[in-house]
Amino acid sequence: MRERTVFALVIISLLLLAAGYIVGTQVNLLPTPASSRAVLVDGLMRFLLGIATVIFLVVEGALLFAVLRFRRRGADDSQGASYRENTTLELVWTLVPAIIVVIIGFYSYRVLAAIERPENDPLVVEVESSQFIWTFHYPEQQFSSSELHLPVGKPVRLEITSKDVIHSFWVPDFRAKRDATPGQVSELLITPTLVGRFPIRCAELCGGGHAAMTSVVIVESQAEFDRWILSEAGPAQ
Amino acid sequence: MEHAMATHEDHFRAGKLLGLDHRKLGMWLFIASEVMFFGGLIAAFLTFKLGTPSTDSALLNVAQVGVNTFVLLTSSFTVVLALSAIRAGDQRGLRAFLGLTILLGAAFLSGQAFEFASLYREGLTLTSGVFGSSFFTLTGFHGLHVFIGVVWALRNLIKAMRGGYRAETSIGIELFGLYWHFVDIVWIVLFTIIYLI
Amino acid sequence: MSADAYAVKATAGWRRYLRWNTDHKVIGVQYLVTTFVFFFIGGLLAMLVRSELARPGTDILAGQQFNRVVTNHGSLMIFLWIIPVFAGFANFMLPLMIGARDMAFPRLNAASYWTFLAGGVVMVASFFVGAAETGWTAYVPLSIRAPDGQTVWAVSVIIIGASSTMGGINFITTTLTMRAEGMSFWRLPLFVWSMLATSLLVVIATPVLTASLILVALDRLVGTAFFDVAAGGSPILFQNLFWFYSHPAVYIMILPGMGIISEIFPVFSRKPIFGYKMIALSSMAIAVLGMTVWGHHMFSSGMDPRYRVPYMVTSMIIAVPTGVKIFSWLATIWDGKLRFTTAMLFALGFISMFLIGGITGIFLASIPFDIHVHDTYFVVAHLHFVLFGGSVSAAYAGLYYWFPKITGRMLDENFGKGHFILNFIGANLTYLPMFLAGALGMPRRVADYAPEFARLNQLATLGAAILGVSSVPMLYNIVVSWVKGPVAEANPWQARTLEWQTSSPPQDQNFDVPPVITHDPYDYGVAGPAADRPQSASAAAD
Repeated sequence: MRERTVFALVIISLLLLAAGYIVGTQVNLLPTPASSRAVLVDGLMRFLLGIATVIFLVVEGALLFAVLRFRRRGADDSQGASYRENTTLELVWTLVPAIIVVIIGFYSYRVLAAIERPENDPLVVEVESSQFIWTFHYPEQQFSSSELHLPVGKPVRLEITSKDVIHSFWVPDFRAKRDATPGQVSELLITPTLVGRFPIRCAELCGGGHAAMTSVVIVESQAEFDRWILSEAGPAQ
Repeated sequence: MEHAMATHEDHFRAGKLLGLDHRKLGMWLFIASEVMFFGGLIAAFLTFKLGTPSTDSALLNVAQVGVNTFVLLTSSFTVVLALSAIRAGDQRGLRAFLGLTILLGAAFLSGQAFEFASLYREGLTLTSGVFGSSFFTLTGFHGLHVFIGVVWALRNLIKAMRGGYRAETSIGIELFGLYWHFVDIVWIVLFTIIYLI
Repeated sequence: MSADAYAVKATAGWRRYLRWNTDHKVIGVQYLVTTFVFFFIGGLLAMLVRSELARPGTDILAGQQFNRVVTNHGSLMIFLWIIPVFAGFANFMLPLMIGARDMAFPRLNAASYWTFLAGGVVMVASFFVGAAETGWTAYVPLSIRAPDGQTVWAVSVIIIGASSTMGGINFITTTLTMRAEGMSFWRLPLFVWSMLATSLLVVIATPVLTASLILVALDRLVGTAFFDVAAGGSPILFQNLFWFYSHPAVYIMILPGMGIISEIFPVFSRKPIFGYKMIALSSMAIAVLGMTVWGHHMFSSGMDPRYRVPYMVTSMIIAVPTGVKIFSWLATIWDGKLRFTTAMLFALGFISMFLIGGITGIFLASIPFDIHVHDTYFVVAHLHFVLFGGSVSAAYAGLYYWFPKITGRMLDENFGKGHFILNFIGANLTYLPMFLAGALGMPRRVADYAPEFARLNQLATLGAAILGVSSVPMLYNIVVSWVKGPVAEANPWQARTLEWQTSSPPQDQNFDVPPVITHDPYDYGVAGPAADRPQSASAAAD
């Protein structure tokens, strides 16, 4: 290949990687992560976004370039080039995407292992869904509530089920979701890291009230959480 | 310039895959799709057999159904004999073995009907639980396929009695044979996973 | 069989399309017209959805009604538009492309169309008896408890599935046994390869959907216990059976479109297709891999967590053969002499939009990210980029490319370009905001949403309005051109595949004598006189 072409390719590659890096680190599309798993998932997402930016720019760029540079001029009836293959090129564009997906796969697996790792002594809350309300049982404290309160910084294990059709428990700010399936209990592990009120939305079509099946998770300090428990369950704690 | 109109066969002579007749290929593909259909029903049956153990399976009479299975497998043998008969030009043999196949198929269906009736009497029904639902659906659809096969065999027999088959034009029997063997093989699988394991 | 069995009654005119006819060209037109009608109905349903979602709050459609509109929008588009429209193109073109006079089983072919129409009528009829309302995915137990229309819907899908399977058997058998002399596998046009891969998926996967819906119907009608949790039934079983088909279904929806794109680029670049064998083999690889990924729709389902990772692996691997196609197409147009006919524009638009859909597919394959965005508008955006930006663009490209061959008339290129521009702008404007909405917290299949999503939804509705408008120049173009457009010559695009070596439209039984194939389908890039070398030297146009 000509020196100029190599030079141009190197410059373009560096620019692409820079674009990917910038997008991956600076673009802030998601709301503030409010749980430990959210931090990890957001990191993964940024990585994906950075790679996606590079791929997007390469392909769309090549497309745009080709459309402008190789368009037929006037009434030019001649043929285009005649090459049909290029083993090196084909190997590159098979292997590079393969390597990229392998890397993405490994990174995803590591994040998955981290976010699903059971913690010691979590707070257990049973989430029961029905058309179209969420009910939260605190088995250890022995009471139920229509509100989900959680102490900040403590691991929680949600045990999720449904009394009728499939619903799905989703807290976008936690980046956590699990289907609520009748006849089975599905676990969801979360450690909230921010104090605040975060929406809970149903993420599986469950009937006419699906869009309205929302609630809120209130993450508060341990002291406030204890006070709430006391007020709900009575003083026998 | 005059071009002779190509016959339909001309179009099939070119570009064949492994010399396979298009009608046989079509039948194989149809059988593949039916295998997948039974695969779905078998998946349902096994899900419940493995996931929701029930005592209902004790109600099944393996010995009786084993005899019925033997009947059905014999009918596959008679189909093979029917095909080799017509290939040798033996019209009587064709009719005889087709007739036997029909009788054996009908016997299988009667045996199944008898089995279903007695299971119903003992409380195992289509709606009695996951075992009943998956058992009757799976064996029921198989029985439906046997029934269709028996009707097809009858139609072939009538055609044979009118001299509709010759050694060179016996592909209809061969196609029927493929279907019938498929139905039998499905039964072997069903018998194994429902009654034996 | 005698030649008479194949003598098509020479009743010209539009009436033959309303009757049973075994000529693959008639059946192809029947499929194409019928699927476009269903496309418009599905599009109207989409307009209803976007109208409701233009603002927060319930404006025109309350919960259950909204669910019905959404369900039938999806069902129509998948089962009655995008899958069968490619069957329509294949019906018309496949025999021509391989040098055959018709399909292997012409009567089965006709039966597949009328079965399809019957299924479509039943599906539309289900609107009126209390429509299906569970989303096209019909999860149990919701679909067991839904009103009567759900059963009618399930029956209609079973009927349509039977039609699809009939077609699949026919396409495979035709391709394998009716190729003309000299038409080896490596001389097949890539559209034929793509239909072969697609048809294998159709034959293998569709019956499993049939089984799953039969179980739903049995639970609904006779009280079986398959999905009755109290009796030990399993909702997860339904999801596995359903997605075992419905994931391959998306490859059924895209592979033929990719085949069309592979036809169009060489013609309008005057260059051979780059990497022919790899493109052909990648279609088969996608088909095979496509049967192993279905669990990625169930990452949040509470399925045994150990089983999730293999699905992530296979779902990511499938990006590789897909990428091979995209890069090969780019290499095809590179150094070409590009002509921007409407067909070419839609093919270019296909790459640009399918790319976004494909990349976001990798995002969704990553389990931790998917857990966040599953069942949100992120998925809605992804699926519309691949199915609308991808498959529908390819269907449009096929329309503009093959309209002269099918009807004998030329479509107007100016209306075509107008259609393309409105479509490209509209599609991107409609679906790009949805990625953000989903990631920010908007679930799918909702009639209402939190006010923070209002701006994104307004943009999407505006885009949808533009898409609606874009159908006007297309529809006008098709109708007017078909009736009185300029007469098309046999080979207006100077293409090399066999269908262009027949008249426009092709004569009865396509070829006077079976052609003998002497060249490959994309022999461009060779200098010479304007009389380009067709694939068969002996096939004579009328």
